[in-house]
Amino acid sequence: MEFLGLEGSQLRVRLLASIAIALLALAGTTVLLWRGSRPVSPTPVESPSNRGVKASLVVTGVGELIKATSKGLFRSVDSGRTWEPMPLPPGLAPSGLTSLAVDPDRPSVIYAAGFNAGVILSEDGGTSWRRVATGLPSLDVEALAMHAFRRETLFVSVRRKGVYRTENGGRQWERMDGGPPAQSVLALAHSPLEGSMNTGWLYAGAVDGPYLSMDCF
Amino acid sequence: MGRLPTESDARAILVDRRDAKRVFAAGSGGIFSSTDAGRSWKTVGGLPKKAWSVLAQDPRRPETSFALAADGMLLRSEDGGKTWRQVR
Repeated sequence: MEFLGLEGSQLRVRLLASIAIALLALAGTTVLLWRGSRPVSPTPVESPSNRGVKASLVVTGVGELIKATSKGLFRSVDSGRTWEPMPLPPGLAPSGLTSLAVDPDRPSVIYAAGFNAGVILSEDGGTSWRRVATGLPSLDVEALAMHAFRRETLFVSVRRKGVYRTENGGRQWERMDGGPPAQSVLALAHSPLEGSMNTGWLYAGAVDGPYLSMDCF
Repeated sequence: MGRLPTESDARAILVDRRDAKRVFAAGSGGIFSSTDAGRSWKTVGGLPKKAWSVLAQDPRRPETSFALAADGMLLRSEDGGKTWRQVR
């Protein structure tokens, strides 16, 4: 890993960053560093042009496809050739869900998220839903991702509020950091790549390309 | 993280379940693949030029992946993302 093979000035920078993180952690705040593909602008910029194209697609543990688009939720049992609409939670607009995550080991467990929707959970394959957003600062969730192998651990990016994590299937969310230094987060993905002092790393997709957290998740 | 070969947003990121060093990103500039956890990227060739919004992998058969475009086109790969065919 590039960020593990540190020498010279890189090592000094990382050392100073680690000291700063430790001080902030002592102050009760968890701050995470992100490495992106572009020079980072310190000022968040609105990117409304990307909000209209959000969609999501997941493959369940039994091979079904579920997609969330601006027209609602749909399920396919024939690898995407045909799609059947799925019921939406009451009060949620068809375009309200933009991110999905499924438990590969429990095909009936589906998480969905979106702007003004928070995070919702279905444990019966999408027939019924309940909100699992305790601890989130708002319901404007930009992206949702499940941990690579811990099925009760998920991450969300809340618009302008940062990255939040649950370790109990959404019953409680805790703030991780201020989010990657990007205009807005379009996607999250957890990686179990070796080298982490925790269980992995977190990628974020943004309007200026992908970012990788330099800290451990 | 390395730069994408084409200026593009990253609307979707997929970490290969079989090998975490293999990562895919998708966006308005196409679909991109990395074999070194994002240090370097290559454009996946042979795809229609359009904005790609979503990437997904079949947990039962991880060699099978899907890419969904903003306009609804769905592609499927059955060789770990090397080649893609439209789902009809």
